Amino acid sequence: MADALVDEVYAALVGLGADGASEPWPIGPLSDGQWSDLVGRCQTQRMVGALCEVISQRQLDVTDSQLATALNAQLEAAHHALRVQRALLETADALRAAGISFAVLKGPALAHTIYPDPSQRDYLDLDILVADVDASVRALGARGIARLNDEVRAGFDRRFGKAVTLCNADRIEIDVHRTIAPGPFGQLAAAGQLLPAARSFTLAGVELPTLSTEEHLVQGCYHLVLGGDEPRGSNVRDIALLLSEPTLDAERVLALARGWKGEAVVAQAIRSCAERVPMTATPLTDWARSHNLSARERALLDSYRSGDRFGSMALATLRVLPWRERLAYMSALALPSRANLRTRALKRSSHLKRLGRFVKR
Amino acid sequence: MIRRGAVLERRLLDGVLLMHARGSFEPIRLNGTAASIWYATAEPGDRAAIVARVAAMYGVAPSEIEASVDAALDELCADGVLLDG
Repeated sequence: MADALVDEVYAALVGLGADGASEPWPIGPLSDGQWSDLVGRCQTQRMVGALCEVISQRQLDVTDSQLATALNAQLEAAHHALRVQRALLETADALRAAGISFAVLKGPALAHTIYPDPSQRDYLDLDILVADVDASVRALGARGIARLNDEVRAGFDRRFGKAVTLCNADRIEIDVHRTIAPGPFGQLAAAGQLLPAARSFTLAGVELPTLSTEEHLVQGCYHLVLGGDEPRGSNVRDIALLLSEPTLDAERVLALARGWKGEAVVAQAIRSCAERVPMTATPLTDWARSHNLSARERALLDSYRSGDRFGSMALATLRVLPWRERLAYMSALALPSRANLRTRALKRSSHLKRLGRFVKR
Repeated sequence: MIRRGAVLERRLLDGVLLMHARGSFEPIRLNGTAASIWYATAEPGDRAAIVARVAAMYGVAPSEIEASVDAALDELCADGVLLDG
Protein backbone atom coordinates (compact mmCIF):
# COMPACT_ATOMS: atom_id res chain seq x y z
CA MET A 1 0.00 0.00 0.00
CA ALA A 2 1.27 3.50 -0.81
CA ASP A 3 2.52 5.40 2.20
CA ALA A 4 3.28 9.12 1.97
CA LEU A 5 6.29 8.93 4.28
CA VAL A 6 7.80 5.99 2.35
CA ASP A 7 7.17 7.92 -0.88
CA GLU A 8 8.97 10.96 0.55
CA VAL A 9 11.99 9.00 1.72
CA TYR A 10 12.19 7.11 -1.56
CA ALA A 11 11.99 10.38 -3.56
CA ALA A 12 14.79 11.83 -1.44
CA LEU A 13 16.92 8.74 -2.18
CA VAL A 14 16.38 9.21 -5.92
CA GLY A 15 17.61 12.81 -5.58
CA LEU A 16 20.51 11.94 -3.28
CA GLY A 17 23.56 13.99 -4.25
CA ALA A 18 21.81 16.02 -6.97
CA ASP A 19 22.15 19.82 -6.91
CA GLY A 20 19.28 21.38 -5.02
CA ALA A 21 17.49 18.11 -4.17
CA SER A 22 15.86 18.31 -0.75
CA GLU A 23 16.40 15.60 1.82
CA PRO A 24 13.42 15.55 4.17
CA TRP A 25 14.63 12.66 6.29
CA PRO A 26 12.11 11.71 8.99
CA ILE A 27 13.03 12.04 12.65
CA GLY A 28 13.15 8.59 14.20
CA PRO A 29 12.87 5.23 12.45
CA LEU A 30 10.04 4.27 10.10
CA SER A 31 7.64 1.57 11.27
CA ASP A 32 8.67 -1.98 10.36
CA GLY A 33 5.92 -2.12 7.73
CA GLN A 34 7.08 1.12 6.15
CA TRP A 35 10.67 -0.10 6.27
CA SER A 36 9.77 -3.33 4.54
CA ASP A 37 8.00 -1.33 1.77
CA LEU A 38 10.98 0.98 1.39
CA VAL A 39 13.58 -1.80 1.19
CA GLY A 40 11.43 -3.75 -1.29
CA ARG A 41 11.02 -0.68 -3.47
CA CYS A 42 14.77 0.04 -3.31
CA GLN A 43 15.49 -3.53 -4.39
CA THR A 44 13.23 -3.41 -7.45
CA GLN A 45 14.40 0.10 -8.35
CA ARG A 46 18.12 -0.72 -7.81
CA MET A 47 18.38 1.89 -5.09
CA VAL A 48 19.75 -0.24 -2.22
CA GLY A 49 23.15 1.47 -2.53
CA ALA A 50 21.56 4.90 -1.99
CA LEU A 51 19.54 3.62 0.97
CA CYS A 52 22.66 2.21 2.64
CA GLU A 53 24.55 5.44 2.00
CA VAL A 54 22.06 7.50 4.02
CA ILE A 55 22.09 4.87 6.76
CA SER A 56 25.89 4.97 6.93
CA GLN A 57 25.81 8.80 7.03
CA ARG A 58 23.29 8.52 9.91
CA GLN A 59 20.82 10.68 7.97
CA LEU A 60 18.14 8.03 8.33
CA ASP A 61 17.47 6.47 11.75
CA VAL A 62 16.99 2.70 11.78
CA THR A 63 16.33 0.06 14.40
CA ASP A 64 18.69 -2.91 14.75
CA SER A 65 16.35 -5.22 12.84
CA GLN A 66 15.88 -2.62 10.07
CA LEU A 67 19.66 -2.29 9.82
CA ALA A 68 19.93 -6.08 9.46
CA THR A 69 17.34 -6.05 6.64
CA ALA A 70 19.22 -3.28 4.82
CA LEU A 71 22.50 -5.15 5.23
CA ASN A 72 21.05 -8.30 3.73
CA ALA A 73 19.71 -6.35 0.75
CA GLN A 74 23.06 -4.62 0.34
CA LEU A 75 24.99 -7.87 0.54
CA GLU A 76 22.80 -9.38 -2.21
CA ALA A 77 23.20 -6.29 -4.43
CA ALA A 78 26.97 -6.13 -3.79
CA HIS A 79 27.48 -9.79 -4.61
CA HIS A 80 25.60 -9.38 -7.87
CA ALA A 81 27.53 -6.20 -8.76
CA LEU A 82 30.84 -8.02 -8.25
CA ARG A 83 29.69 -10.82 -10.55
CA VAL A 84 28.77 -8.22 -13.19
CA GLN A 85 32.21 -6.63 -12.76
CA ARG A 86 33.82 -10.00 -13.38
CA ALA A 87 31.72 -10.43 -16.49
CA LEU A 88 32.86 -6.98 -17.59
CA LEU A 89 36.55 -7.91 -17.24
CA GLU A 90 35.92 -11.18 -19.09
CA THR A 91 34.09 -9.33 -21.90
CA ALA A 92 36.68 -6.57 -22.16
CA ASP A 93 39.46 -9.14 -22.39
CA ALA A 94 37.73 -10.96 -25.27
CA LEU A 95 36.94 -7.75 -27.18
CA ARG A 96 40.47 -6.40 -26.76
CA ALA A 97 41.99 -9.68 -27.92
CA ALA A 98 39.81 -9.47 -31.04
CA GLY A 99 40.80 -5.83 -31.64
CA ILE A 100 37.22 -4.53 -31.30
CA SER A 101 36.67 -0.96 -30.10
CA PHE A 102 34.10 -0.75 -27.27
CA ALA A 103 32.72 1.44 -24.48
CA VAL A 104 31.07 0.40 -21.20
CA LEU A 105 27.57 1.88 -20.80
CA LYS A 106 25.21 2.44 -17.85
CA GLY A 107 25.54 0.92 -14.35
CA PRO A 108 29.16 -0.16 -13.83
CA ALA A 109 30.55 2.76 -15.86
CA LEU A 110 28.41 5.38 -14.10
CA ALA A 111 29.17 3.83 -10.70
CA HIS A 112 32.89 4.35 -11.27
CA THR A 113 32.80 7.76 -12.96
CA ILE A 114 29.79 9.78 -11.75
CA TYR A 115 28.73 8.38 -8.38
CA PRO A 116 30.44 9.62 -5.19
CA ASP A 117 31.07 5.97 -4.25
CA PRO A 118 30.66 3.04 -6.69
CA SER A 119 28.80 1.04 -4.01
CA GLN A 120 25.89 3.51 -4.29
CA ARG A 121 24.92 2.27 -7.78
CA ASP A 122 23.27 -1.18 -8.07
CA TYR A 123 23.20 -3.03 -11.39
CA LEU A 124 22.15 -6.44 -12.62
CA ASP A 125 23.58 -6.74 -16.11
CA LEU A 126 26.20 -5.39 -18.45
CA ASP A 127 25.83 -3.10 -21.47
CA ILE A 128 28.68 -2.63 -23.93
CA LEU A 129 28.64 -0.49 -27.06
CA VAL A 130 30.81 -2.06 -29.77
CA ALA A 131 32.14 -1.03 -33.16
CA ASP A 132 31.29 -4.39 -34.76
CA VAL A 133 28.41 -6.44 -33.34
CA ASP A 134 28.97 -9.55 -35.45
CA ALA A 135 32.69 -9.76 -34.64
CA SER A 136 31.94 -9.11 -30.95
CA VAL A 137 29.37 -11.91 -30.78
CA ARG A 138 31.89 -14.25 -32.42
CA ALA A 139 34.73 -13.20 -30.09
CA LEU A 140 32.57 -13.63 -27.00
CA GLY A 141 31.10 -16.89 -28.28
CA ALA A 142 34.61 -18.28 -28.57
CA ARG A 143 34.97 -17.65 -24.81
CA GLY A 144 31.73 -19.49 -24.00
CA ILE A 145 29.60 -16.33 -23.74
CA ALA A 146 26.63 -17.36 -25.84
CA ARG A 147 23.76 -15.38 -27.34
CA LEU A 148 20.29 -16.06 -25.90
CA ASN A 149 18.32 -15.74 -29.15
CA ASP A 150 19.37 -16.54 -32.68
CA GLU A 151 19.63 -13.63 -35.08
CA VAL A 152 16.30 -12.58 -36.67
CA ARG A 153 17.88 -13.09 -40.09
CA ALA A 154 21.48 -13.07 -41.28
CA GLY A 155 22.79 -9.51 -41.17
CA PHE A 156 19.91 -8.13 -39.03
CA ASP A 157 22.04 -7.42 -35.93
CA ARG A 158 24.57 -5.24 -37.72
CA ARG A 159 22.02 -3.42 -39.91
CA PHE A 160 19.00 -2.92 -37.67
CA GLY A 161 19.45 -4.45 -34.21
CA LYS A 162 19.72 -2.46 -30.99
CA ALA A 163 21.76 -5.06 -29.13
CA VAL A 164 22.46 -8.78 -28.90
CA THR A 165 21.94 -10.33 -25.49
CA LEU A 166 24.48 -12.93 -24.41
CA CYS A 167 24.96 -14.82 -21.19
CA ASN A 168 28.18 -16.00 -19.55
CA ALA A 169 28.78 -19.15 -17.52
CA ASP A 170 27.88 -17.25 -14.34
CA ARG A 171 24.46 -16.41 -15.89
CA ILE A 172 25.18 -12.68 -16.15
CA GLU A 173 23.45 -11.06 -19.12
CA ILE A 174 25.65 -9.03 -21.43
CA ASP A 175 23.97 -6.70 -23.94
CA VAL A 176 26.31 -6.01 -26.85
CA HIS A 177 24.98 -2.80 -28.39
CA ARG A 178 25.09 -1.58 -31.97
CA THR A 179 23.02 1.44 -30.95
CA ILE A 180 21.64 2.89 -27.76
CA ALA A 181 17.88 2.47 -28.11
CA PRO A 182 15.29 0.32 -29.87
CA GLY A 183 13.00 1.64 -32.60
CA PRO A 184 13.29 4.77 -34.73
CA PHE A 185 15.36 6.87 -32.32
CA GLY A 186 17.87 4.02 -32.05
CA GLN A 187 18.20 3.98 -35.86
CA LEU A 188 18.67 7.74 -35.98
CA ALA A 189 21.37 7.72 -33.28
CA ALA A 190 24.79 7.39 -34.86
CA ALA A 191 26.14 5.51 -31.85
CA GLY A 192 29.36 4.71 -33.71
CA GLN A 193 30.31 8.35 -33.07
CA LEU A 194 30.80 7.42 -29.42
CA LEU A 195 33.78 5.23 -30.35
CA PRO A 196 36.65 5.31 -29.68
CA ALA A 197 35.57 6.05 -26.12
CA ALA A 198 36.24 9.47 -24.63
CA ARG A 199 37.36 8.44 -21.15
CA SER A 200 38.09 5.41 -18.99
CA PHE A 201 37.86 4.01 -15.47
CA THR A 202 39.86 1.32 -13.72
CA LEU A 203 38.57 -1.94 -12.29
CA ALA A 204 40.91 -4.42 -10.59
CA GLY A 205 43.82 -2.72 -12.33
CA VAL A 206 42.23 -2.94 -15.79
CA GLU A 207 41.49 0.26 -17.70
CA LEU A 208 38.03 0.22 -19.27
CA PRO A 209 36.76 2.68 -21.90
CA THR A 210 33.51 4.55 -21.36
CA LEU A 211 31.58 7.63 -22.48
CA SER A 212 32.08 11.29 -21.61
CA THR A 213 29.68 12.87 -19.12
CA GLU A 214 27.69 14.48 -21.95
CA GLU A 215 27.44 11.19 -23.88
CA HIS A 216 26.40 9.34 -20.71
CA LEU A 217 23.66 11.92 -20.19
CA VAL A 218 22.28 11.55 -23.72
CA GLN A 219 22.49 7.74 -23.51
CA GLY A 220 20.80 7.80 -20.07
CA CYS A 221 18.00 10.01 -21.44
CA TYR A 222 17.36 7.57 -24.30
CA HIS A 223 17.24 4.68 -21.84
CA LEU A 224 14.89 6.53 -19.49
CA VAL A 225 12.37 7.54 -22.15
CA LEU A 226 12.61 4.71 -24.69
CA GLY A 227 13.48 1.80 -22.39
CA GLY A 228 9.93 0.55 -22.20
CA ASP A 229 9.11 0.45 -18.50
CA GLU A 230 8.27 3.10 -15.93
CA PRO A 231 11.62 4.86 -15.30
CA ARG A 232 13.58 2.98 -12.67
CA GLY A 233 14.80 4.97 -9.64
CA SER A 234 18.47 4.26 -10.38
CA ASN A 235 18.07 5.57 -13.95
CA VAL A 236 16.41 8.77 -12.75
CA ARG A 237 19.21 9.26 -10.20
CA ASP A 238 21.77 8.74 -13.00
CA ILE A 239 20.23 11.66 -14.91
CA ALA A 240 20.00 13.85 -11.79
CA LEU A 241 23.68 13.25 -10.94
CA LEU A 242 24.81 13.75 -14.55
CA LEU A 243 22.90 17.05 -14.72
CA SER A 244 24.63 18.07 -11.47
CA GLU A 245 28.14 17.38 -12.79
CA PRO A 246 30.03 20.68 -12.57
CA THR A 247 31.96 19.99 -15.79
CA LEU A 248 28.86 19.13 -17.87
CA ASP A 249 28.89 21.01 -21.17
CA ALA A 250 25.25 21.73 -22.04
CA GLU A 251 26.11 22.78 -25.60
CA ARG A 252 27.78 19.42 -26.28
CA VAL A 253 24.71 17.60 -24.96
CA LEU A 254 22.43 19.60 -27.23
CA ALA A 255 24.72 19.20 -30.24
CA LEU A 256 24.74 15.42 -29.78
CA ALA A 257 20.96 15.31 -29.34
CA ARG A 258 20.42 17.52 -32.42
CA GLY A 259 22.79 15.42 -34.52
CA TRP A 260 20.78 12.31 -33.65
CA LYS A 261 17.39 14.04 -34.09
CA GLY A 262 16.81 13.13 -30.46
CA GLU A 263 16.13 16.49 -28.83
CA ALA A 264 12.60 15.38 -27.94
CA VAL A 265 13.96 12.32 -26.12
CA VAL A 266 16.54 14.29 -24.15
CA ALA A 267 14.04 17.04 -23.28
CA GLN A 268 11.44 14.55 -22.11
CA ALA A 269 13.96 12.64 -19.97
CA ILE A 270 15.21 15.81 -18.29
CA ARG A 271 11.64 16.96 -17.63
CA SER A 272 10.75 13.53 -16.26
CA CYS A 273 13.79 13.66 -13.95
CA ALA A 274 13.00 17.22 -12.80
CA GLU A 275 9.43 16.16 -11.94
CA ARG A 276 10.78 13.48 -9.61
CA VAL A 277 13.83 15.28 -8.22
CA PRO A 278 13.47 18.93 -7.16
CA MET A 279 16.74 20.11 -8.69
CA THR A 280 18.35 23.50 -9.10
CA ALA A 281 17.47 24.94 -12.53
CA THR A 282 20.27 24.69 -15.10
CA PRO A 283 20.47 25.77 -18.75
CA LEU A 284 19.53 22.19 -19.72
CA THR A 285 16.49 21.97 -17.41
CA ASP A 286 15.33 25.37 -18.71
CA TRP A 287 15.82 24.22 -22.29
CA ALA A 288 13.95 20.97 -21.64
CA ARG A 289 11.02 22.80 -20.08
CA SER A 290 10.63 25.08 -23.09
CA HIS A 291 11.24 22.46 -25.82
CA ASN A 292 8.17 22.03 -28.03
CA LEU A 293 7.61 18.70 -29.74
CA SER A 294 7.22 18.75 -33.51
CA ALA A 295 4.50 16.55 -35.06
CA ARG A 296 7.19 14.14 -36.28
CA GLU A 297 8.81 13.89 -32.83
CA ARG A 298 5.44 13.29 -31.22
CA ALA A 299 4.62 10.50 -33.68
CA LEU A 300 7.97 8.81 -33.12
CA LEU A 301 7.66 9.06 -29.33
CA ASP A 302 4.09 7.71 -29.45
CA SER A 303 5.32 4.58 -31.21
CA TYR A 304 7.11 3.59 -27.98
CA ARG A 305 3.98 3.91 -25.88
CA SER A 306 1.53 2.00 -27.99
CA GLY A 307 -0.20 -1.15 -26.72
CA ASP A 308 1.64 -3.17 -29.38
CA ARG A 309 4.98 -1.52 -28.74
CA PHE A 310 6.92 -3.92 -30.93
CA GLY A 311 4.70 -3.44 -33.98
CA SER A 312 4.40 0.33 -33.59
CA MET A 313 8.14 0.75 -33.18
CA ALA A 314 8.74 -1.40 -36.24
CA LEU A 315 6.42 0.78 -38.35
CA ALA A 316 8.00 3.97 -37.04
CA THR A 317 11.45 2.51 -37.72
CA LEU A 318 10.46 1.92 -41.35
CA ARG A 319 9.71 5.64 -41.68
CA VAL A 320 13.23 6.67 -40.66
CA LEU A 321 15.19 4.01 -42.56
CA PRO A 322 16.69 4.83 -45.97
CA TRP A 323 14.50 3.46 -48.79
CA ARG A 324 16.96 0.76 -49.78
CA GLU A 325 16.93 -0.65 -46.22
CA ARG A 326 13.16 -0.78 -45.79
CA LEU A 327 12.51 -3.95 -47.74
CA ALA A 328 15.26 -5.87 -45.95
CA TYR A 329 13.92 -4.70 -42.56
CA MET A 330 10.32 -5.60 -43.38
CA SER A 331 11.14 -9.00 -44.79
CA ALA A 332 13.34 -9.86 -41.81
CA LEU A 333 10.56 -9.05 -39.37
CA ALA A 334 7.91 -10.79 -41.46
CA LEU A 335 9.98 -13.91 -42.12
CA PRO A 336 12.45 -14.45 -39.30
CA SER A 337 14.73 -17.48 -39.49
CA ARG A 338 13.52 -20.81 -38.09
CA ALA A 339 16.31 -20.73 -35.52
CA ASN A 340 15.15 -17.32 -34.27
CA LEU A 341 11.53 -18.48 -33.98
CA ARG A 342 12.68 -21.60 -32.14
CA THR A 343 14.65 -19.61 -29.52
CA ARG A 344 11.57 -17.38 -29.03
CA ALA A 345 9.41 -20.52 -28.68
CA LEU A 346 7.28 -19.43 -31.67
CA LYS A 347 5.98 -21.36 -34.65
CA ARG A 348 6.00 -19.68 -38.07
CA SER A 349 2.19 -19.94 -38.23
CA SER A 350 1.68 -18.17 -34.90
CA HIS A 351 4.22 -15.51 -35.86
CA LEU A 352 2.37 -14.86 -39.15
CA LYS A 353 -0.99 -14.73 -37.32
CA ARG A 354 0.41 -12.12 -34.95
CA LEU A 355 1.80 -10.17 -37.86
CA GLY A 356 -1.57 -10.38 -39.64
CA ARG A 357 -3.39 -9.02 -36.58
CA PHE A 358 -1.01 -6.09 -36.49
CA VAL A 359 -1.32 -5.32 -40.22
CA LYS A 360 -5.16 -5.36 -39.97
CA ARG A 361 -5.05 -2.76 -37.17
CA MET B 1 52.04 -6.29 2.11
CA ILE B 2 50.51 -5.53 -1.25
CA ARG B 3 47.02 -6.08 -2.64
CA ARG B 4 46.70 -8.49 -5.51
CA GLY B 5 45.72 -6.47 -8.55
CA ALA B 6 42.89 -8.69 -9.72
CA VAL B 7 40.57 -8.24 -6.74
CA LEU B 8 37.15 -6.58 -6.99
CA GLU B 9 35.63 -4.82 -4.01
CA ARG B 10 32.35 -3.29 -2.92
CA ARG B 11 31.84 -1.35 0.29
CA LEU B 12 29.19 -2.59 2.75
CA LEU B 13 27.54 -0.89 5.74
CA ASP B 14 29.55 -3.09 8.08
CA GLY B 15 32.67 -3.77 6.02
CA VAL B 16 33.62 -4.73 2.50
CA LEU B 17 32.88 -7.57 0.07
CA LEU B 18 35.73 -8.85 -2.10
CA MET B 19 35.82 -11.20 -5.06
CA HIS B 20 38.66 -12.45 -7.20
CA ALA B 21 38.53 -11.14 -10.76
CA ARG B 22 39.44 -14.64 -11.94
CA GLY B 23 39.17 -18.10 -10.41
CA SER B 24 36.91 -18.63 -7.41
CA PHE B 25 33.48 -16.99 -7.48
CA GLU B 26 33.27 -17.23 -3.68
CA PRO B 27 32.91 -13.73 -2.19
CA ILE B 28 35.05 -12.81 0.80
CA ARG B 29 33.20 -10.72 3.39
CA LEU B 30 35.29 -8.65 5.76
CA ASN B 31 33.57 -7.04 8.74
CA GLY B 32 34.74 -4.44 11.27
CA THR B 33 38.47 -4.68 11.96
CA ALA B 34 39.15 -6.99 9.02
CA ALA B 35 37.65 -4.37 6.70
CA SER B 36 39.76 -1.65 8.34
CA ILE B 37 42.85 -3.79 7.74
CA TRP B 38 41.87 -4.18 4.09
CA TYR B 39 41.46 -0.39 3.72
CA ALA B 40 44.85 0.06 5.45
CA THR B 41 46.45 -1.94 2.65
CA ALA B 42 45.26 0.46 -0.07
CA GLU B 43 48.87 1.63 -0.19
CA PRO B 44 51.57 -1.08 0.01
CA GLY B 45 53.55 -1.33 3.24
CA ASP B 46 55.26 -3.86 5.50
CA ARG B 47 53.42 -5.48 8.39
CA ALA B 48 54.60 -2.85 10.87
CA ALA B 49 53.28 -0.06 8.61
CA ILE B 50 49.87 -1.73 8.28
CA VAL B 51 49.68 -2.26 12.06
CA ALA B 52 50.55 1.43 12.57
CA ARG B 53 47.82 2.53 10.11
CA VAL B 54 45.16 0.40 11.77
CA ALA B 55 46.27 1.55 15.23
CA ALA B 56 45.91 5.17 14.07
CA MET B 57 42.37 4.43 12.76
CA TYR B 58 41.31 3.12 16.16
CA GLY B 59 43.46 5.51 18.27
CA VAL B 60 45.30 2.73 20.09
CA ALA B 61 48.95 1.78 20.53
CA PRO B 62 50.28 -0.56 17.78
CA SER B 63 51.39 -3.07 20.42
CA GLU B 64 47.76 -3.51 21.54
CA ILE B 65 46.55 -4.76 18.16
CA GLU B 66 49.69 -6.15 16.56
CA ALA B 67 48.84 -9.80 17.16
CA SER B 68 45.28 -9.60 15.84
CA VAL B 69 46.26 -7.53 12.79
CA ASP B 70 49.04 -10.02 12.03
CA ALA B 71 46.58 -12.90 12.19
CA ALA B 72 44.12 -11.08 9.93
CA LEU B 73 46.88 -10.29 7.42
CA ASP B 74 47.78 -13.99 7.35
CA GLU B 75 44.15 -14.83 6.60
CA LEU B 76 43.95 -12.26 3.79
CA CYS B 77 47.14 -13.73 2.31
CA ALA B 78 45.63 -17.22 2.59
CA ASP B 79 42.47 -15.95 0.82
CA GLY B 80 44.74 -14.77 -1.97
CA VAL B 81 43.78 -11.08 -1.83
CA LEU B 82 47.08 -9.88 -0.29
CA LEU B 83 50.66 -10.75 -1.08
CA ASP B 84 53.28 -10.78 1.65
CA GLY B 85 56.47 -9.27 0.35
